Formats: sequence, C-alpha cells, structure tokens
Amino acid sequence: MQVNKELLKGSTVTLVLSLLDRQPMYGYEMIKEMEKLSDGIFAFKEGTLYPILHALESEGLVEAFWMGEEGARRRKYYRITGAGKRRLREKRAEWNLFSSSVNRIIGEGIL
Amino acid sequence: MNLEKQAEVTAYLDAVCAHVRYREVHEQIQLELLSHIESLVEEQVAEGESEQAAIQKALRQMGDAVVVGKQLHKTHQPRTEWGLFGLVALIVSIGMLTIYSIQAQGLLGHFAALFQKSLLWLFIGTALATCLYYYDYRKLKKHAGRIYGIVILVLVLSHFTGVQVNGKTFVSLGMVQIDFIGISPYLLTVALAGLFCKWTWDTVGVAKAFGLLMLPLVIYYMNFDKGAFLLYLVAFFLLMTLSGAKRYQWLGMASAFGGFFALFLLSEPYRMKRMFTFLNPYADPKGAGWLHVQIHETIASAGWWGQGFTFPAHWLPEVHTDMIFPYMVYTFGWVFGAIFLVTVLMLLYRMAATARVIKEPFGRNLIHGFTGIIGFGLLWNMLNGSGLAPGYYVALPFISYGGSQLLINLVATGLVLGVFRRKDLIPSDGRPSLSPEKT
Repeated sequence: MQVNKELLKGSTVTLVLSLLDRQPMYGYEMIKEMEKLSDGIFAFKEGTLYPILHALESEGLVEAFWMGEEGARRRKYYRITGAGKRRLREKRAEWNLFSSSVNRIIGEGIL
Repeated sequence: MNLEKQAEVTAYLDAVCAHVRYREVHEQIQLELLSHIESLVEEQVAEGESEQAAIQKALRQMGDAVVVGKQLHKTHQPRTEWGLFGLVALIVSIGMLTIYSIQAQGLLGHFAALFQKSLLWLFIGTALATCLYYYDYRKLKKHAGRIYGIVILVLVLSHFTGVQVNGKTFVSLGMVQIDFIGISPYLLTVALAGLFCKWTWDTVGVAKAFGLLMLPLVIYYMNFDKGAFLLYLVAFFLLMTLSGAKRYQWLGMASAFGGFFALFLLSEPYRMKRMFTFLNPYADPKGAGWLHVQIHETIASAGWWGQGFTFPAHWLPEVHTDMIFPYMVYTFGWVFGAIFLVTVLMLLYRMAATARVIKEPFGRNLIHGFTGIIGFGLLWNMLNGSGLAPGYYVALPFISYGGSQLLINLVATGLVLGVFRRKDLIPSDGRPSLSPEKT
C-alpha cells in the first residue's frame, strides 16, 4: 500500500532529524535507511530531500561536512546540532500527541 | 562510476541549477546531487540493468528538476537583516536630527553647514555601504595581513606628516581631511577578524598577537587618541576571546594590561585624580570637576520631556561630538534618553544574534568585532555623557558629527549586512575538501 504524499509532508523534518540523531549520514544513505525502516512505504522523490536538508542547515538544526578520500567519492554528510536535537524533542512530543489522538478517534482494537 | 560527462545527467543537474539564482551554490548542489545519482545508478547496474536504463531510472527517482530547483532556490536566497537595517536607520536619523538642531540653534557658530556636511557624508557612506553589502566580503580575508600592514604604515606616516586640528591628527587629502586614526580601529578589526580565523594560540601565537595589539596602541598613545586606543583594545580582546584563545591567555594578557594601566595612573597623582573625579566632581567644581559638574547639571535639568531648543551656548564643549549625548537628553528629555538607550541595546542584541547564525568564521569574526567596537562606542559615550564614567571620551557612533566617523560606521554596517546576506549562499565549510574533516 502506498501512503498519500500529503500525509508525509508534515513529518519529513521529524523523520530526517530522527535519522541524523542516530549518526551522521549523507543523502543517499538517508533514503536507503528510510526505505528500510519503513518497509518501503516512504519512497518519495529523492531530489526533494536536499531542499529539506539545506533548509535545516540554514536554520542551524543540522550541519554539513564533506568527506571522502582522494579517488573515492566525496560525499556531503549531515549531522544534527544541539538546536536540532532540541527541535527533534519538540517534534516527537508533538507527534506522539497527534498520533495518539488520531488513533483514539479512528483506531479500532488499539489498546 | 563517473557520470559527470553523461549528457542526461548534466542536463538534469543544469536544469536544477537553472532555478537557483545564486551561482555560488551551484557547484555544491551539483556535486551533492551527482553523488546521489551515481549511487543510484551503481545500485541498478549491480542488479543487472544497462547503464543507460539505470541512468534514466535514477533520474526519474530523483524527481522533477524544476521542483527540486525551485525548492533549493527558496533556501539559497540572499537574506536581509531588516531589523538591523531599521535600527541603524533610526539611530542615524536621530543623529541627523540632533546635528540639525545644534546647527539651527547656532551653538557652533564658527562651524557652518554642519548638517549639510553630515548629509553629504551620509550619502557617500550609504553608497559605500551599499557596495559592501553586495561585495563578497570573504575576499577581504586573504588580504588581512596586508590591511594590517597598510593601516600601520599610514598611521606611522600620519604621525609624522599629519595635520593637527584641535589636538587630533588628520590625514590631509587636498580638500578633505580624514580622521584616519579614528577609523583605523575599524580597519584593524577587519584585519584581526581575518588573521584570527586560523590563529594557533600557543606561546608563539600569543606573543605574536601581543605584537599585533601593541603596535597600534603605541601609535594611538603617541597621538593622544584615547578613543581609538579604547576601541582597538576592546575589539582585540573580544576577537581574541572568541577565536579560540584559552581563558588564561586572554586573562593573563588583560591583567598585564590592567597592571600596567594601574602603574600608569599611580605614577602621576594628577592622573589618579582625573580618573576618579567623576565620582565626586563637586570637590573641585571650578577645576578638574568642572566638565563633570556641567554634565550633571545638564542631565539633571533636562526633565522628562526635555527643555526644547534652549541649550545655552558654550555650556558644554564639543556638543557636536563627545558631548552630544547630554545635549540630546537636555533637548529631548529623559524619556528620549531612555528610548535611545533601549534602541542601542536592541541594535547590539541584534548584531550579536546575527553573529550567532553565521557559520563562516571570518564573517562571524567581522560581526563580533564591529559589535564590540560600535557597542563600546555607544555605551561608553552615553556613560561619559551622563557623568557615570571617567572622562575618556569617544565619539557616539552614527550620531556624533564627523565625516570619517559616520562613513566608517555606515561601512561597518554595510559589511555586517553583507555577511548576513550571504549566510545561506555559502556552504558551511567552504569548498568541498578532499580529506576527511574533523568534527
């Protein structure tokens, strides 16, 4: 089953920050990880990840650095900052409230 | 895999960048997207696809180049710090109004057309600031050492050949006389901002920094320019502290300085007396305390809403420069003085906040240095002008009369706004590097 894109929109920032909270990653790695963790549900247009990352960078929530040995591919890695971690905490709390409320209304058999 | 030369891939990358107006970020975006596409293609090829098919599939997976490009453009736009701009504009307007009223009252009869001259300098300064706003300030960084050298050279030359006006040394350029000493702390701040970007704060580094500190100070001292002396001192210690010097290093240097200053004061009784006269000016109201008494009475008689345009002629010296704050309070009132103080604090807060969002070290240093210099000038002048500090006077930035002063403060503002403007145009660590970066 596919998930409506509109549903995904509000949570991309939370998803991206959650991934980077575990370890620094580059874009391709993040897409793969997201696919794996969501069992392929989050397969969106990959190019649109970069505007999100760049916006987070200019807000100071993540920072970027280039890495790669000579000869090998140079990659732009992203890592979460202190401000990013704070934002993630807020976003998580918001999400928990939202999802539990939605579940209470539409949920069947949810304990 | 190397797809840089693949027509389809290049076309895609170009299509993305066509929507990103600022060219400086193109290279970074292309490199980043290219590496993503290459990974995708590699994966497909490993699964047995032909390279051509894999490329097409990868590009489809990336999504519409127009959409990606437009979204990236939204992020990489020049930014204007309108708050900072507005506050400076407000303070400059207050300055122009004050200068106009001083002139209209004829308080400096011999000094004709004070306001018109200020207006001219405001015009020139705004034009220069606008140029610097668009200028890529990072280019100044590699000239930091040269800037320092040239400033010192001109300072030394002006010490020997400059024109003396009212005890101040000016550099004469035909028609105009430039208060080069007055503007030099700003120029040296630019130099230090660059030099301290990658300074190694070991023993040799500290010794070298000490040289950078002392050279201008000696010249300022020989020219009796306390204002420039204090401004440079503040800018130096601020930049030293914020660019990685250890606490014991700057504390050590500062306390050596403090000790030297204490010795300097104690060696001559009149210096001690002068230093602390402001605490009790009425002990010697006709002598050392005279100016402080005048200031006290000016401030005390201002009232909440001011005395209007009734400031007595010759009541205070230098009402158009060092003593402009008591004039303002007397004329426009305590409420106005308080509002002015709040405006100044807002400006400084704004500048400090601006520095915090700049990741590029030279730009951040520039803003920090100018915040220190302008902030110290504003607060110190107001303290002195309220009789709350010993009489080591500095001009009130943006307000005091003086072409060079107005010009350099506007130029500094232009640079600060220019740094902020480029905050999202510059990748955080400059060019992509080949070696792993340290965290």
